[in-house]
Amino acid sequence: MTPTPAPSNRAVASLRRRLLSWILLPLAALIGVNAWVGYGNAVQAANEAYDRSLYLAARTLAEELAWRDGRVQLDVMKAAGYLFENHTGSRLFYKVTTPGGQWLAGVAALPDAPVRAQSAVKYFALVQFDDGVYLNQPVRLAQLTHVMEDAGLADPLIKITVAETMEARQQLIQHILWDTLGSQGLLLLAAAGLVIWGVQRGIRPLEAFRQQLASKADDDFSPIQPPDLPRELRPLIETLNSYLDRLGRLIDIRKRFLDNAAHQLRTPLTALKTQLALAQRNTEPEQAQTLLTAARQTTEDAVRLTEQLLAMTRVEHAREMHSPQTVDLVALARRVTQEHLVRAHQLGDDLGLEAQVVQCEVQGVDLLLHEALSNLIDNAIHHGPVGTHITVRVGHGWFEVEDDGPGIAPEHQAHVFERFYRAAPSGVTGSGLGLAIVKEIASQHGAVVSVRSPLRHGRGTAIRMRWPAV
Amino acid sequence: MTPRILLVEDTPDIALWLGTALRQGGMQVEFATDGHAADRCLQPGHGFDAVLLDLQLPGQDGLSVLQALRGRGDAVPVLVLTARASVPDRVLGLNMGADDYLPKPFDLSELEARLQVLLRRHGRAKTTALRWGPLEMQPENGTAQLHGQVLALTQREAAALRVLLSSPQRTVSKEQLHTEVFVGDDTGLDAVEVLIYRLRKKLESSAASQGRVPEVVITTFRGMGYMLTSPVGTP
Repeated sequence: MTPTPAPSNRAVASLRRRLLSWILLPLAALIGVNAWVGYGNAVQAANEAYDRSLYLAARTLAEELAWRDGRVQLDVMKAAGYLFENHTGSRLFYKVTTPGGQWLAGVAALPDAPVRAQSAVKYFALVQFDDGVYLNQPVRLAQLTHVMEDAGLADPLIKITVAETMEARQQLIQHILWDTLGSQGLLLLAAAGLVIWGVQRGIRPLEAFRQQLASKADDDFSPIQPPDLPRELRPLIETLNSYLDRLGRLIDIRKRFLDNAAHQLRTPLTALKTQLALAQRNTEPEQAQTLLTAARQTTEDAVRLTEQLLAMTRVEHAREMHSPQTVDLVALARRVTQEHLVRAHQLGDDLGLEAQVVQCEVQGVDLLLHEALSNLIDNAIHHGPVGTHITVRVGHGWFEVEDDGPGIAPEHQAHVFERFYRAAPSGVTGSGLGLAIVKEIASQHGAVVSVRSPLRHGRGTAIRMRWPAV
Repeated sequence: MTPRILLVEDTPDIALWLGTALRQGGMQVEFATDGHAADRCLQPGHGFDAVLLDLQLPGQDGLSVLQALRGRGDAVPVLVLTARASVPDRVLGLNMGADDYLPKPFDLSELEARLQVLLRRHGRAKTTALRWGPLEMQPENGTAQLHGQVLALTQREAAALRVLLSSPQRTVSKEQLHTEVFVGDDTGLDAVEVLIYRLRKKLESSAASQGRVPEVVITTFRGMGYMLTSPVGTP
């Protein structure tokens, strides 16, 4: 097996990235919204505070206005503390006009604040605020309507407009902005750090698990036990461990099968080499003939064994390869019996067919059922003495092969379907695979195999493959 | 006339020994060791009586050689030899115009028997007679000889013997014999048994009259039917 750590690496990295992006991106957005709202509120509060002080400045101015010498005059000295020595360094300008706009005092060039239905500061009914431009500078305007009763004016109402340059406000707003950005940025950084740290810690068992898996030897199928495994990952590890367990057992079976197969194949080949070497050495034609006959028999055994090993492999992989079709067991039995007839006859055995039904259809793979029945007949021919009577019998939903050979002792019967299990005495060659193949095919077809032995007079075996559902 | 056989086989060992065996059996054998060579050998006018074709070949595989051959309308009998065993291959081989197939490893005697059947079926054997060991029959007139001695057979006995001889190594069921021998007759299946009984007697007495042990017998196989066998090994 080739180790493929790359994909798992990527998987871990992408999980981390995904967690981080899922947590950090919304968090950053939330902090951003929070900062924006907080900044807006702070700016509004600052504006209100400045507007209020501008209003107070206008009020103070109004109170220090006096009607003297037929015109409006301001006691500048009194107002100066309020007006022009302002706490900020912004500059203040004023003008006083009649409601009609006629100049009375101050800087005539100051723009008017338009009268709007909604004032910026709602509770000052008599004051209007606005932004304007004076001397090419943005200014904040407050316009107060004041009653000047002792004046010799037709209308006692006058308008007092105060303008303030924006430096102080902008400084404050900037200050608030930097403050907000700084604190929220720090918060974001701290949150990111915590999240990264948490995710890293959370993923660490996964990484440890990956390393453990990657460092496993090819033939090591022991379960993996990562330390401090999160509860969410435990089912995954358990599934993987149970898979490893199954895989290990399967490979173990394969390995034993291969070991056995190698041993089984070497045996006849060794015998063959010996027989042929002896035949070469023996110049007596008769002895040579005997050895060649033996060599031919050994070859037959090797062929039979090879066929069975191949059949076993084929049967094991058959599940994926074949789709079931309708198979007539009677026709199948006739065909398979026919194939063994000549050989059985030459060996002096009596092979016959006994169909108890005209037809019996099952769902199955013809090739495999053929293999199974063929193995049963072959087994009977192989293990019975010369002159064995073998009957292939087909009934409703079953077929069986019965012989009057030596039979299978009860203690062997439970094991005859195991691979490489050999019930026969050591003189009889055999692979111990024939019945294992039958069993495998039966289980793939949902059929059951059963043995009856001895049948009569302490001899005989019948092995039946039966479809319970039919 | 010696039958000319083309043996297409890439394994030198198999080619050599198979060729030797076939030559000893009185055939003229030529070799091709890959698909392209086989294809060249099988161009029109090749004059072969049969082809033994391995499927796994270097160059061009056996099936495409066969396909090309049949594509030229050439009906030379082809016996496919293959180490593949799965059914689709077999079906394909036969559908694509192979006359017969033998999975490896095969018995030499079986190969020889199948080859003889193919040669006879295509009228290329030394004689068109049906033969089983010492038993011989001229299908055109129905005369049969055992060890050269003519058997006195009725028409139905001859018909039954011909059916048995045409099916070497395979059983013929009672029903099949009945259909082929008692054409349009409404006799029961028991008539087949009587017929076989008489045929057996005639074979036995012919052998006995020549002072020989029976070398050809009609054997009954339970549930399967009748088949010509020889009690002293294959002929």
